[in-house]
Amino acid sequence: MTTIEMRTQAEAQPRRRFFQLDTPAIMVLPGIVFMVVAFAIPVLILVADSFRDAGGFSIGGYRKVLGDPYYIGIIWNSLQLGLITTIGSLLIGYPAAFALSRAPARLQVLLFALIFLPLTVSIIVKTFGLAIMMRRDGILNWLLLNVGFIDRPMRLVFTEFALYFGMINVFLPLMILPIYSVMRQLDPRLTDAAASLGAGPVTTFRRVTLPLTMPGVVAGISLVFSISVAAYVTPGLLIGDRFMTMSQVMAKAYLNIRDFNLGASMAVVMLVIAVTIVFTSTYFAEPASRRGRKG
Amino acid sequence: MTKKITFSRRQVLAGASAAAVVGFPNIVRAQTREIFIGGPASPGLTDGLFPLIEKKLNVKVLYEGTNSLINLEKIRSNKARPTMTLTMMDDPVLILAEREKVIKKLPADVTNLADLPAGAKPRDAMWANWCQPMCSFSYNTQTVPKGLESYADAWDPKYKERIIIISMRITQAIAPLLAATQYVTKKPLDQCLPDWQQGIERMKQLKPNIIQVSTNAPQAQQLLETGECDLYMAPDSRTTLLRKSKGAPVDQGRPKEGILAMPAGIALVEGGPNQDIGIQFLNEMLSPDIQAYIGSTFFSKPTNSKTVLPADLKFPDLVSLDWEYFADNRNAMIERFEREVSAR
Repeated sequence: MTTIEMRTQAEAQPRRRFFQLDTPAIMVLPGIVFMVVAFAIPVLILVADSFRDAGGFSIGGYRKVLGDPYYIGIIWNSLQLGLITTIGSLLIGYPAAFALSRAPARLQVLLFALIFLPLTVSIIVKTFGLAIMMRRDGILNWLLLNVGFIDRPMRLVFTEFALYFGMINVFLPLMILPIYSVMRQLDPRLTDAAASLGAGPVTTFRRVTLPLTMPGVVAGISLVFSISVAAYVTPGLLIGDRFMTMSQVMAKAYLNIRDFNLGASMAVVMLVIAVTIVFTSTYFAEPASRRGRKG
Repeated sequence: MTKKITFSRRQVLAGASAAAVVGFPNIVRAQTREIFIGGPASPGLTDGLFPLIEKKLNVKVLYEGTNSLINLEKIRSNKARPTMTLTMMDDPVLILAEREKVIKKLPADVTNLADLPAGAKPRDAMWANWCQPMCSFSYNTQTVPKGLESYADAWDPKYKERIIIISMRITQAIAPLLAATQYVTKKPLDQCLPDWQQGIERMKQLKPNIIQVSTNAPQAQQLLETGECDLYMAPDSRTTLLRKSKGAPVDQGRPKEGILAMPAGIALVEGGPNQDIGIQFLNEMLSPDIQAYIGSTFFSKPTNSKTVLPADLKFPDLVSLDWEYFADNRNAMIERFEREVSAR
């Protein structure tokens, strides 16, 4: 074989195939199939249901959900629930994740257990436990009385305080985990370098630590917000029908009044809100993260 | 050289058994005398009543407890291939079930039907009432030792944030709404249903006293028992008096306006499996022996006229309602109740 022939063979473009599966594609295939069956198809059915009622095509469900002050109030309740839970979880979870990532190995195991053991308990059991804790004869009132903050038991159950306290308690681990996983990869030499260049702790945190841990923060916000905005069990048990959420409207529409159009429209609105918040937070977090990487 | 694949007799038998279980589950399951019942999540059913009948009839009951509307939704979803044999629901929900043709008329094989008054086998025996629980309100005997003389007392400001109301999505919620209607219209309780809209106005005045509007009956019951609230409007006697008998500091209110009869029905699911066992089971539920057990265990009025109750167990006359009207107007009631009473 001549040199020219060999070069020609080596430079020849690989034959293009119409459909080609490499190993990563094959590995992701079961996940895609599962998500199509368990998520995409049901969502499509839901969207279709939201545009039809007994008479055929209709936007009546959306008109009701987005045009009735009562339902707008319910959407606001859910948004408020998601936002306050997310902010509360972030304010408590970020320092907790920081401490966890810097703790000695043995202490880390203990802290991990404290944070993640509650995840192994059913949400219903946990919420019932919280309701018991907040009774007039519960441990929280006992504590406040003994510390001297109050002189007689105060009502805590079925208040918005109880709701947010319970929601943050339930969702906090979901905020800590992604932040911790990013934070533990943070090279400590970067913060040391910032300090050696004269940056104070606040500047180091603002210019180095926070931007570099932004991917974890965004993941935590996305997780906590999208789940808490759709929460059903915890608000139902901790505050009841006095604080209606979008999920409760959906349950009522499907299980009690059989207004599938209303239920599906509310579900689509909730999906749009959750997806918008998740994408928006990612969009705004990305530049900060990039700045951190550049130093 | 070709390798021959051979099977031992044991392997063949094991393979055939596995194929039977995996491939033909109906054949294997058909051998068991088993029925699936959907009904309320009341205490005392799976741990008292059902074992008695299971033993007597040599059947196995698979039971799922939830509220009636959700139960109906499950039957609707499985209409093409019903899994339930029997369903236990409130009359207003059974009316909907009948309209949707998911239940069938009780056959003559249910011989105990003959001893039930006409009112306890509605719509020409489409279903039967296996008991009539009493529904008014329940109260904590430590914080309100004498209970309330009248429903109207619940509006007293001294009960500020001390009352739990059950959600209108649960049938028993009709009790406080009718009490409110009765206060406005001054009509007897059994004639108040068509005027329920007036009751909503009165219910709005109760809001300062309401600590929660709940869809979770066990939680509400627990809070009543622990004194977190004084009144719970309105579980029925199945829960309240059962808990009282176990030592909980609660009692059933007997207001002067009257106590409602919550008709608890049982029906055959159209096309459900093992109908013959279902019929036997249903007939047994209506027998005088089991009815006496129901009376003393569920503190609910038995429906079989031949039932002999213990001397110390007496039931007051109960107020019956037009459940068809309720079924037709329930969605409107839920809507107004949630907008005007439940909402903050």
